[in-house]
Parts: sequence; structure tokens; C-alpha cells
Amino acid sequence: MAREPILVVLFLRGGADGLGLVCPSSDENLIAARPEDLRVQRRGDAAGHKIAQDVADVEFRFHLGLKPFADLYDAGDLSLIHASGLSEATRSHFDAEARIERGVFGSLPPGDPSGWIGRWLAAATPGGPMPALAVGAAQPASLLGSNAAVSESLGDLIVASGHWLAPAVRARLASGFGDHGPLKAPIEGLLHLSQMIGERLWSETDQALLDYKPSVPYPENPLTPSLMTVAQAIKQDMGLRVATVDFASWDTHVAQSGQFAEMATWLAGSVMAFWRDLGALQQDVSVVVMSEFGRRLRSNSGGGTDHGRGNVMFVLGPQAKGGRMVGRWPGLSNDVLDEGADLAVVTDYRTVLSEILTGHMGLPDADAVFPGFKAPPLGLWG
Amino acid sequence: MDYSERSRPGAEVVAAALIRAVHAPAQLREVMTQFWHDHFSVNAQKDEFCAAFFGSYDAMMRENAFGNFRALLGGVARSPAMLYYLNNADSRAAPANENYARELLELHTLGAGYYLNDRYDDWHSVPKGPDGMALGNMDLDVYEVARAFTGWSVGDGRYVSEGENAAKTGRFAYVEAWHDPYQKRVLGVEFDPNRAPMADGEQVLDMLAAHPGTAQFVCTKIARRLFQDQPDPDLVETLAGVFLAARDAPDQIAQVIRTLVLDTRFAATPAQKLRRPYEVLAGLYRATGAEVTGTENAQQWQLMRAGWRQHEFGPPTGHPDTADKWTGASSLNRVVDLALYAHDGWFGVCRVDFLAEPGEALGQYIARWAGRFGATAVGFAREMGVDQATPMTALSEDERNGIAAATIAFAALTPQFLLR
Repeated sequence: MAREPILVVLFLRGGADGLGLVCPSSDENLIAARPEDLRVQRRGDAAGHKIAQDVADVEFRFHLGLKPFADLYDAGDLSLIHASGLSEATRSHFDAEARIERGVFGSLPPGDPSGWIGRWLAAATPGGPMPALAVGAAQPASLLGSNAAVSESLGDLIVASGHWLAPAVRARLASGFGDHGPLKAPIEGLLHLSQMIGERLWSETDQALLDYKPSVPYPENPLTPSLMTVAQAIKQDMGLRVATVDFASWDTHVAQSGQFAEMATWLAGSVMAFWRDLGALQQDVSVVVMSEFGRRLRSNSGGGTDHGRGNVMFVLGPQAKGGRMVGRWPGLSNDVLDEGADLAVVTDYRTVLSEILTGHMGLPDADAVFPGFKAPPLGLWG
Repeated sequence: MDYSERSRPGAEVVAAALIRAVHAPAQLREVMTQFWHDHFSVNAQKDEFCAAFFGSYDAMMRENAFGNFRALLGGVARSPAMLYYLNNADSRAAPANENYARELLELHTLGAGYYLNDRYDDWHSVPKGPDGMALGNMDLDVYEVARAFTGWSVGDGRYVSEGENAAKTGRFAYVEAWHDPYQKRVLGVEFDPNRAPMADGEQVLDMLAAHPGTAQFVCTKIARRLFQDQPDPDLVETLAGVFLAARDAPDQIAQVIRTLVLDTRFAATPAQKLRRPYEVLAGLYRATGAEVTGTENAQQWQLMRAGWRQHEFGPPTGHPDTADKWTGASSLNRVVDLALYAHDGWFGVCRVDFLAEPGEALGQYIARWAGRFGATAVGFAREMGVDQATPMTALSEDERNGIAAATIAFAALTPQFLLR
């Protein structure tokens, strides 16, 4: 029943406000720079859950919407790394995402088109019918150089599902793209997945897709369908080793507090349901939650925050030594801010990913994925 | 007013876009209108404000599709749809909202290739070109550009200050009280404090439209759209030269396109550009002669599952334009579905008549519909399990339509149709 180790990369697109997710709520610089609704409260009914930690003198509290994360933290399943992110100074979504997902920075030959997960796949050469799954419409850059399955749901991958001509359409696709570069390999990949998934999820008697029946209820929100697809793929034993999930709309330039609270609630609620749904398979899974950058310490005049630098990363998995805040906290006084404006990055995101790859995924040396990158270990594992 | 009513202008542009993509006689204008929509991308359904102003935004794109880039850039900067979408309508001193300023530099003009933030420690050390402008931008330029556009807002009756609201014009409005009037430094060029209304923003647009980085970025994208995913750098250089030389011309963009299509490489290169899902759908209807009349946007859901969100793309990048972004397994599978079902009644988008001609046999019928795609129908009848000699009169309407749909799928799911 056990699986090979599995990694789920949940990417919060748009630059999630890490200072709002895990808030240094007693920090006087934060209190001076942000209105009350962009900080986690310390008293009363709206107070956030205070975190047990020994990294900094200041107190940290989870956003109210992250209550399930607080529970996972207290249970020793979740770790967090604050003031982490991209070492290079960029506040552009697309530049930051490209750099994080490629994970290169001049250390690979120029023009190497691979992404960090693509390099892990090349190094680890996992067998199985579907080692990598990108949930969504397009493959993220982290999977460049791989032939991951890209889909919002597994059933979406069955070709001409239920059509009277399905066998003929599949046969035509299989033979019709002889030497046409841009389409030949993708169509072969699609047909291969279609057959593999059709054998498992298509009911010939009902002429319909078998519904996925999770073992616990999930909250209804935009993240849930993606995580249910991942849970289904894990349970179906398709040889899945890495899944990427995108969760968009964290780019809160105006009127942040309401929208952000809803997003945080969705995030933690769906991740918790996913985690419970896995049951005993939790033992084989790690989830990393990350974003391209955090947001500005000082809010703007529209009740929002602009692009910043340092952010919080979460690592969920019983194999990691959870229930801890690891790394360093640089503080928020003006002299230690990045360019006088933003939480500094003191832990490169690759430190965290490297430890997951070696500690959880069994990669002997993370140099194959992040060439030339060296950093003192955080001790998430071992 | 009901939300669906308030957002209807956006939905109407979505419906009109497909009708035009199929039926408009001047297709290059449609292609370039879509190109500019993706370049200056606004999600029409981000909120009812973007939706309400999306019709005028679309009209401005279409009118300037072959025109002058600076005029287009200025039109976008003052359009309520963009001002709402990237939050500049709310931007006032201080701190300014940086959302529009950053995308203006990174997506609308210079492109990510000229964002030099990690290459220089200090903006004074960014080298300047012969035109006196820095070669690229840093975060500090973003902050300065954001300051330059403070007060560029919308006349929607919004609160300005105690006792003062913006006039309800439904147009661009400059709110002097919100503008940060002091000196600025953009791409190494210094601006004096307290200049005339909108002079800061206008000068930023002037500089960006004339910057060689903008010429390079925009011409690469035009060549990518009309020609190939990775256009030859020499060719882009030539186009960028035309772009800069014609920067004051009313037909600047047309001149760039003319140079591209007259280049010998353009005609000599075999078809290799992948049709994206929207182009597949429009191409199917053009090939069959279906009349697209739908105004309820029933196609939008199926296109979204393929990754195409017509006028509703979430991030401000617009739809990607290289094949690798459209060959994910699920996206390709939705293209298969489009080929199979686009003419079905439940799709509700088009009217099509699959009548047989008098005396036609099944084999002839299949060959005729396949011929509309330039395909020969070899093996079609056998693979469908039908007899070519059957007279069409022996088929029910449903059977006939099923044969037509299968023929379309067989003919369209080919390199000849999917690549152009």
C-alpha cells in the first residue's frame, strides 16, 4: 500500500503576503507600517493562533483563516520557514516565477531549458505510468524538460471519452502526426495517458467516468478540485512522484484584507482536507507551499500591498521534523529591510527544496537539481 | 442592477470576437486586434468596472491595430478598463500603487529582458544609450513611474477629498490632488517638480515608446504571432529598425507588418505555427461555412478547459504564444473535443446545414466535407464503419450529422489543419 515518496508543490501565484499569513504581530515596525486589518490581531475574538517557536523574540501568529495550519503545526506535521525566497533582487511576478521554477541563475549552461522538477525527474528516472502531474491548463516552468501530464482532472485526459468514434479518433491521432515535431510527442503522451487512465477510471458498463469519492469532505473553493485530482492520482497508484498545483489571485494591490482572508481560509481548509483524505498515505507525501515573493511591509494608500521580497514557506509531512519555525528571522527595522522596504530574504528557497529532495525524496545529492548551490542545512529532516 | 447586466458589455465583446474571427472580411485586423488585447491584456470580467468599459477598450484596440504604437500606449494608459484592471485608478500619493507602473514597463513596453534589477546595485550605474535613456529599468524606476501616474484615474464619482468627488463622466479623469508633483528620475532622465497636469505620465509614455528595448520586445512578439515561435534575431532587428524609424508615423505598426510579410523568409518557411484553441474553433467554423450567431458565449467554457480565456485571461500577460504552452495533454484533448463537438447543437454557438446534395452517396458526402479542409477522405468511411455506396437519403438527420461531425474531426485533427 505504501508509495514511493511523493512531493506536492503548491504555488501561490501573485505574491502571497507572508507577513499576513504568519504575522510578526507584536513587531512595532509592522504595527507602525500597516493598518489593523492588514495585521493579525493579538487579543479578542479575532486574535490569531500564536506560534510556539524559538527563532525570534517577536511573537508570530497564524492568520485566522489558517487555523487548520495552526492545528497541523501543533500536531508536529507542519514546519514553516519565514524570510525565505529568491536571493536575487526581483519584484516582478514573471521574472521571480521564472527564476524560482527554472532554479538556475547562471549555474546551468546558458540556454538550458530545464526546470528544477524536470531536472529531478531526469536524475531520479522514476518508473510508473505517470510520475509527474501538473494540475491546470499549462505546465509550469518547474517541469520544463519533462513530459508531465498536464490536466485539471484525470478524466479530462481520456481521448474522445464516450464518443461513438473514440477508437477511430485515437487510431487516427496515433498514426497521423508522423514527423511533425511540435505535435508528435505531445499527442503520443496524451494517448498513453488516455489509455492508462481509461483502464482505471472509465466504466464500460455505465459508459461514464467513475466519480472520485474522497474519504473526507472537502470545502468548496477554487483550490479543492486541484487537490482532489492529486489525492485521486496518489490513491490510484499511478506511480505519481511529483505534482504541481497552482493557486492564483494573491496579487492584492488594493483592498487586501477581505479577499486575503478568504484566500487564506480556502488554502488551509483545502490542504487540511487533502491531508486527511490521504489517510495512511500521508507517510509518503510532503507538501511544500510557496509563492514568488512576499509583499511590501508598508501598505499602499489603497488598502493593499505592493510587491515585496521575503516570504513564508510551509513544509507539510510527517517525515519532516514539523511543529517548528526554522531558519532565521531578520526583523523589520528599517536598517535590516531589503532596500529599506521589504522583509529580507535570509533563507534561499533552494535550501528548503534541496532538503525535501534529499530528506524526503531520497535524492543522494541536490547538486543534480540545483548545480553549484550550497547552503547550511536547516534541519527540516534528520 | 443585476450583476450579469452590469457585466454584459464585457460578455458582448467576447461574443463579437468569435463572430468577427469567423466572418470578418479583414482577418489581419482581427488577428492584430487579438494580439493587442493579449499585449495590453485586461480581464474583462475582473469586476463590473472592467466589464462595463470593455467595449470602448476593444474599439480602441481595433481602431489602432495597424496604427501608431505611442497612440495605442496612450489610449491604454487613459482607458478606464486598464485603469481599473491594474488599479491605477486608485493610485495617489503616497505611497503610489505600483501595479500598472510595473506592467507598463515589463509587459507593455520594455519587456522582462530589460528589467536589470539584479545586474546593477545602483541605478546610476545602469549605462545610457545614445538617446540619453538608461538601457533598462530597475525597481527604482518602477517606483518613479508609479509616482508619475498618480492621479490618473476615472471619472466615476469617486471620493477625492472632503467635499470633493470626481465628476461622473465615465471617462479618464486626472485628479490633481492625488498627483505626486515632485521631481522624478525615470530611466536616468530627470523630471522637474511641479510640472503641468499629466506631463510626468506623458513623458514616461513618450520615452518608453521611443526606447530601443520596446522596439525589440514588441517586434519580437509581432513576429512570433504572425510568423514563428522563435523568430530569427536578424529579422527582429530589421523590424525594430522600422518600428523606431516610423515611430511618428500614423501607420507605424502596419509598416512593421509589411516589412515582415515581404521578407523572403516569411513565404519560404513551411507551416509550423500551432493553432491555439481559439484559432482552432474559428478555423473549424470558417472551413465548414458555419454561421456563428451565438451571443451567450457557450463556447467560453470549453475554451477555458483548453486554457484559452477569451478576454478573461487572469494574469496581465495575456495568452502565451508558443506551441509548448498549448500542447499539454489536457489542452490538446480539448482541441480533439472541439473538432468532434464544435458543430453540435448543445454547443449552441453556430448554425450549420449539413444537407446532402441530390443523389449524393455517403462516400461523396464525406469527401465533400473533408475537401473543405483540403483533406482527402482516404479511409474515412471504413474507419467510421459505414458503406460509401449508401445513398444519403437512407440516413436519418442525426445519422447524417454524426457522419459530418466525424468527417470534420478526421479532417481537422491533422498537421495540415492544426499548423499554419
